[in-house]
Amino acid sequence: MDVKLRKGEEGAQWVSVPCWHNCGGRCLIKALVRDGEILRMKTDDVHEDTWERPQMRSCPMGHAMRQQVLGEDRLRHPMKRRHWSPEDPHRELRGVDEWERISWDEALDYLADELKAAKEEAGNESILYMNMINLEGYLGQVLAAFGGYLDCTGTQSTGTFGLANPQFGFGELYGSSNDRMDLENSDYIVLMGHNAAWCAFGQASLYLKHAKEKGAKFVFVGPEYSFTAGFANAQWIPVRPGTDTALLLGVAYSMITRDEDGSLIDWDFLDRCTVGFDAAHMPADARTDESFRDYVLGMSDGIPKTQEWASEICGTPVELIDLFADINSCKNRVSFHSNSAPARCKGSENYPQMLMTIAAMGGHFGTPGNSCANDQYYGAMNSGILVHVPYSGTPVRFTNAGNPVGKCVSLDSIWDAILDGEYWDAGNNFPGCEVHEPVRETCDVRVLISEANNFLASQANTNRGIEAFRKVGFVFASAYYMKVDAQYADVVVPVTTRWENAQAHLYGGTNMKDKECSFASRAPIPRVGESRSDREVAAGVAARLGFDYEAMNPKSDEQCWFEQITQSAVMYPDGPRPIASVTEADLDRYGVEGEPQEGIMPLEQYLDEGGYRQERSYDDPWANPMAQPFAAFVADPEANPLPTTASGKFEIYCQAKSDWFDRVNGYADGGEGIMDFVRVSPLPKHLEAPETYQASFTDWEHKVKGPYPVQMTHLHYLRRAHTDCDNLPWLREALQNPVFINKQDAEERGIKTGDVVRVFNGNGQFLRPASVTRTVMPGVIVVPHGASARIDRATGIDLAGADNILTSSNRTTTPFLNSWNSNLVQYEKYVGSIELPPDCEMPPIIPLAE
Amino acid sequence: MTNYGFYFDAESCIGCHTCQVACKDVHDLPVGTNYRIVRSFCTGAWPAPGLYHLSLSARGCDLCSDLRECGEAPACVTACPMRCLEFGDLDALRRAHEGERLVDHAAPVANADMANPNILMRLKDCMLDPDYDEIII
Repeated sequence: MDVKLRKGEEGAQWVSVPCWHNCGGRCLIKALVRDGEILRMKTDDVHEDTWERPQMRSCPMGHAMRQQVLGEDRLRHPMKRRHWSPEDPHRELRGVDEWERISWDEALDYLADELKAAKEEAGNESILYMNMINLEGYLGQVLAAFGGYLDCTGTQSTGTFGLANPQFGFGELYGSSNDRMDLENSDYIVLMGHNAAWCAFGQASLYLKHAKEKGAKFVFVGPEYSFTAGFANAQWIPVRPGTDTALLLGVAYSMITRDEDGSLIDWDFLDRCTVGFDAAHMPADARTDESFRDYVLGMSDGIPKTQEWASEICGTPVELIDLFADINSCKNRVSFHSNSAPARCKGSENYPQMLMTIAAMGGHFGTPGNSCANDQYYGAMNSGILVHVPYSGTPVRFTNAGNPVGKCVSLDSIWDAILDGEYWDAGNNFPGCEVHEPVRETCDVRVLISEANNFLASQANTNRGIEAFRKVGFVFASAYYMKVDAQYADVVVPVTTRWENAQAHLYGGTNMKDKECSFASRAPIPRVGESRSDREVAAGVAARLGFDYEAMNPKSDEQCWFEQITQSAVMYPDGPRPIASVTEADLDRYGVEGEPQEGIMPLEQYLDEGGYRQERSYDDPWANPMAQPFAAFVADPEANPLPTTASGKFEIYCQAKSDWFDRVNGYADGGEGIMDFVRVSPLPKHLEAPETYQASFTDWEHKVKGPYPVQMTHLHYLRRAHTDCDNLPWLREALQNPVFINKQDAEERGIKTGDVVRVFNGNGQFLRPASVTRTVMPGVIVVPHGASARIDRATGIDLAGADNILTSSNRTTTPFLNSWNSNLVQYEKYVGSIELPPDCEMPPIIPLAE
Repeated sequence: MTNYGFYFDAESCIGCHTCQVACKDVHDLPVGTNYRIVRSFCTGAWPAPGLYHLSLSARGCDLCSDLRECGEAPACVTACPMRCLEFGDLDALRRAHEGERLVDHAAPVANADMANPNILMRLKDCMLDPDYDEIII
């Protein structure tokens, strides 16, 4: 390729490199590479940028990526803690020790010896592999062959959308929004906590821009007027964290009582496509006779869910509840796009069903401009699969069927399980796995393994996590920088990034991307220091445990990389068409197995371009109105029943959903429930729960606040992909990681933008600069999600603003539910002696002096 | 003589800072030096605020003369995920965006105070509101 370069760049080549993070988007980035050095980055410029085929432009993280791969804080050598030895581990020094270099043999010998000792002394259940159903990682397969390990489960990002949704009608976990060519047909685009600009990077915001320019109006429902709301000039419907079900019940009341002959409610849709709305439409399997209408009007419990009732709980002004009801009218075409943030709350078990119900009341499914989906990330505003990319990465994934230890600890209470030695095991909610009544299990965790995850940063209650890390016998981490898990480990080994090791990707494959594109990239950088690939680490561990790794996992990373790229195909109605043509010469060049094939372009061109994007048109097969989710069902529900519900319709009254929750929450067979697990009705009722707005009062009736009166919620933040990329200097400078607080609340506390505030509750405390804004509700503090805690040794205060320093564990309302968004805190202007520097001036964490 | 400047679509900006970071990468700038900055502001009153961002050249920006010599556009322009930035001759930009409400300033930043005053901004209404608070992100 004859591209003109700047002076000093002679001899460099543009190479498409992976952006592999779990950021909620997927974009095309290229590095200008010479002799293993990155001179600069660029984003997609392959095709002219049009609506039909937009360029896949990167977020700020993609442009800073060379700081992740080649930053001075990359780990280069295996290490152990200076004061750790197998005989004398000094567990209390985890996180505060110094590090010394060891050899790879030593590191893997230590791990293998600790695994063998743990198995012998306490059984395989004493080995906790910090992963989740083999989501990513190579060690799970090795540990399974070794006799197994204690696994983890949890709803993680999906919240209550991951719990019993198919039973009432949401069969697709990752969204069923209409095709993006339909988005402009909506009169109103309702974003339920859906801050696409920060949580679904890629092209979701570009699609919203197009709809905006075509005249669509926007509504943003959430505790903050997000950057997406601001961009869209959206009508804000403020709602306190975790109270969305109450809000929508108030909207339903408003619609029911103000409807005049179908001015608001689509009675025909309710009649044909749903069950449970009123007495005349109860499903055959209902075991009570309480209908949704009865509940909303207060006929069954004496509490009409009026706008005032809702407003007291959710904080939405009454007139905006009526406005929301008017917008939801069947006379408007409305597309609902929900994040899972409202579903990552304690007591939000009914939110997904309530969302479906409110959309159904307006008839907003399956016709042009009408849809309702949880499309919170990769497929935001454009659900489905148009270009199929298989995931062919790590050898075992999304199942622990090969793991002889069948037990799972819920991620919500993983640290409590380790510290208390016992936990409730209700099985595993992951698709294809089994749930059951909660069983009290004991555990004696001796070994913690952190491979592709960073649980001390990502899971609730970091301080408790640190205690748990300091209790167990041995902690091992593989990492490319000192992620928090590594900081608190005993032995750490350096692994390659995907710019050094070609491999298949989880994020970027199948549905972890926009539906109409795919990516092809190379790994052009030599290994940094002594880094090894995750696969090589697994092979080294396997050898020491007595297994033939190559027999266990015969496919090389390069083979998997090649297969993922060459199996990517455009899914035309008459069959898939591969993107890459493959010749025998290609197979030889890469030293891989395979067959030649015909594709849309030569393999090398696909790799050079870096991706494929289907050019769309309004009359292509995927834009067809009858191809949209629920379209066939809505057109003829008798001929095309929903495949996952008992009635074949949307179940506003869903007996199967209630039965499922009764089973896992301890209410089946006359049970009285366990811990904080809630009793879930067949109807989408309001639930009370710990750490919610209502729980912030010691006296609800007289509105007397308890010690932690403020609700904390988090948002996905553009400086990080969850906890990843937090250490990149350019990102730390551009995005300062403040806490966002309401202007009136700030004034009452004497806080101005830039002041350092201390945020605290019973779980911990942290310091952050304040960003005082009119765009956050009173009584709410918004914290960017994912910072890596930096705990000041003298005071125990975290200086980084890690959300999980303040989140509680073991208080959730369904065993598998990760409910990070329910938190009660207090905050004040900080008056202590710590001088908090800007994040970009904090020193990088470099454990070995070179 | 060509009078080079930027067009910035404030109505479409989401305040993501990609322009700032792309610029840092292309010019290998250390922490502390930025040739482009992004500032964010809120206006209005509960429960109807406004929110807008300004992407502005800072001292050091020469519209990527080195990239332009290679036939490329300035880094921020090709990087912007919302397609907010264009560059070129100011008169040509004005003609290309005829029909849009264009301003060269916002309430918090007078044109004379900008490092590069050669800017045309597609107006977002709230950016002229004198009652604003600057926020950090």
